[in-house]
Amino acid sequence: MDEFYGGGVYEEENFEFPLFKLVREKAEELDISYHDALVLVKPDYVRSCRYGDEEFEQKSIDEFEEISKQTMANWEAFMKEREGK
Amino acid sequence: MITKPNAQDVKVYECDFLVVGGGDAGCSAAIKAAEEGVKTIILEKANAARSGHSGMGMDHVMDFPREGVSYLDYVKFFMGRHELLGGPGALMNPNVGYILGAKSWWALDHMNKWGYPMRWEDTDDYHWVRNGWFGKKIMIGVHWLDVKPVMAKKCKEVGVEILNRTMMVDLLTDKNGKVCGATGFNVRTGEFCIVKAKAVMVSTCNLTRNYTSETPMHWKYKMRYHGHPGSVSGDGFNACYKVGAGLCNLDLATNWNYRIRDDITIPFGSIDHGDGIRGQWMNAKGEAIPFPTAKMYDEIEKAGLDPIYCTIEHFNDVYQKRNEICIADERFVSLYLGAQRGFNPKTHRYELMENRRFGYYGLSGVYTDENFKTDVEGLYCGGDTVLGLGGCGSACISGIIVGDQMKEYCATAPEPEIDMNHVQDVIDEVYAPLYEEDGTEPMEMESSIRYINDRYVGMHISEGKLKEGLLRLGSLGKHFMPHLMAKTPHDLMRCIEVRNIYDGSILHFKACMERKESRGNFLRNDYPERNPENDNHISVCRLVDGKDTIELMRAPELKPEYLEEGK
Repeated sequence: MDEFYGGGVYEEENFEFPLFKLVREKAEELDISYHDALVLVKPDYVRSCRYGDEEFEQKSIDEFEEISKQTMANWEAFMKEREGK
Repeated sequence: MITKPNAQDVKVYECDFLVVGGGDAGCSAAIKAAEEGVKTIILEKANAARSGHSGMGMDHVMDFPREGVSYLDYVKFFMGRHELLGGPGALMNPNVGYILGAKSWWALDHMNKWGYPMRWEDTDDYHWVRNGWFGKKIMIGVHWLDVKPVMAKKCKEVGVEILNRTMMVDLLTDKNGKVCGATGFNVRTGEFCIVKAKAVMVSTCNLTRNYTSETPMHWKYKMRYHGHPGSVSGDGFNACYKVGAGLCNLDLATNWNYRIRDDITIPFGSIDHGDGIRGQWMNAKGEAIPFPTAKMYDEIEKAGLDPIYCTIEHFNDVYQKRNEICIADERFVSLYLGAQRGFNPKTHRYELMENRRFGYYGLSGVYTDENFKTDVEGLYCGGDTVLGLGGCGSACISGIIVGDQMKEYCATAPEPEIDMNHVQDVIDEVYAPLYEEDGTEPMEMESSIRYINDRYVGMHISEGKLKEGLLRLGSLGKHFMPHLMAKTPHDLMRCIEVRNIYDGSILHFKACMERKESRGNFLRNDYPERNPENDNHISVCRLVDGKDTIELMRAPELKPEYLEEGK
């Protein structure tokens, strides 16, 4: 049982959102609120998100649609099995 | 120390147009009316600069038909997105959907003119994002972290008087039944007031607080109600009902039904349906499943494959970053809380609990025509209070449409005549908890009501459970409700709220009992089949001669002129 006491049976990594890290650092640097820091750092972060890159977006969506098709196929097989019981 | 006032001594405000609720719809209606010279007052329970659906921010505004989407296409979408969860057929007024689409661009011009940040600074253009149900880019992605201060400032600029921290107690009617104002109560000072008006718009969101507060769906961030918590005690629903307006689909309730187990919910906002990639659902074994309706969930449960989870681990790095932007725009506080707790959305699996209703959003609301006028003269509704409406985009559009009618309406509307005896009755009821010793705390009562709704409606509905639930509600009403106690204005506000929550719950149970069928996510164990005769019908609760009535009303057809214009 010891492994359940802090042994990492279930442990999420200590994660910090990259955007919030920027916010926190800016707020500490300028001694301003997180809200005001967000207003300062967000525009650059937005620019790094490839908004408007239609080719990239379409590729990402196509990849997801493939997953969705497989998911639906799996579901139909599951329901068929349920109906057979 | 607050004391009960005399009706003759309370402050009386006079205006042409009273807006109850200063959220997206309320502010937009008020600005439009005031710009046209209509004397306008907003009653706002919180502070209009940070209240309402967008009070904490917003990341998308929907919808503006484009990309080959006709107004008729939009009506199909407006109706259709509720069909999956409410069952087939029209469950609302299609003419409302038509007008939302047809007037959306006109409304957008107003929003731009008033300084709502619609365009992105970098490109000085709209950032069009997909409507996930529609698959077309007809929503606008917005950075609306600070939109409410902009709205409130604009209200003041055009001369709207905002009574912050003042909640509506009830609506006032004249001898002909026309709405002619409202009573209000300052939740900080305890001061009572009367607002006389020729027309009133109620835009106080919906009712959700009769159910245990849960994040309604994985894309709604760290927000345990759909809407602002203060807004979802059903104040507007109850006030409209009491003056004779129809409250619709309180049985079918809301359209997003999963409860999420996680206390920390940092999910993926408009990216879910805005950027074309949705979350992935999976069963207990980690096998991918489609987004499950109640019936699908039922099958999974029977197969022993629950609980089910949702994850965004399949998002690539850029989409993970976009997710952060969405959260920052709509619920910055979520990003803060998540960061504090080391929460990682890339690896976290959101557990979705039973599929059941949690409130009344979109699929439920006050019945209106396409001008957002209710069946009661002088009474309009806006935003999420309206049957079929959901979200800040339709809220703004509906508000602007109502505000636009006020100059003409108020020019011919009769002067308001207030029944002061009725006002005194309202005062007596509002202040009664001040004189109660060792009574019931309003939050204690609210918790009990929530428990009864959770326990006796639930995912699987049956006559026996509903009857037992109604009995228990009746017991609360008889033994505890008369003994609500309060010591401060804030407590008194809670007492008014809990009465509204209680009345809404009673109607919810009664409406559920009347619907003797299963449809969409409404599952009755004792009536497992859908009754096709109920397709295209709206369930309407209405107060008639002091009695609750519930009827199924055939949904209106789309008007012939819209069928022609909207192609």
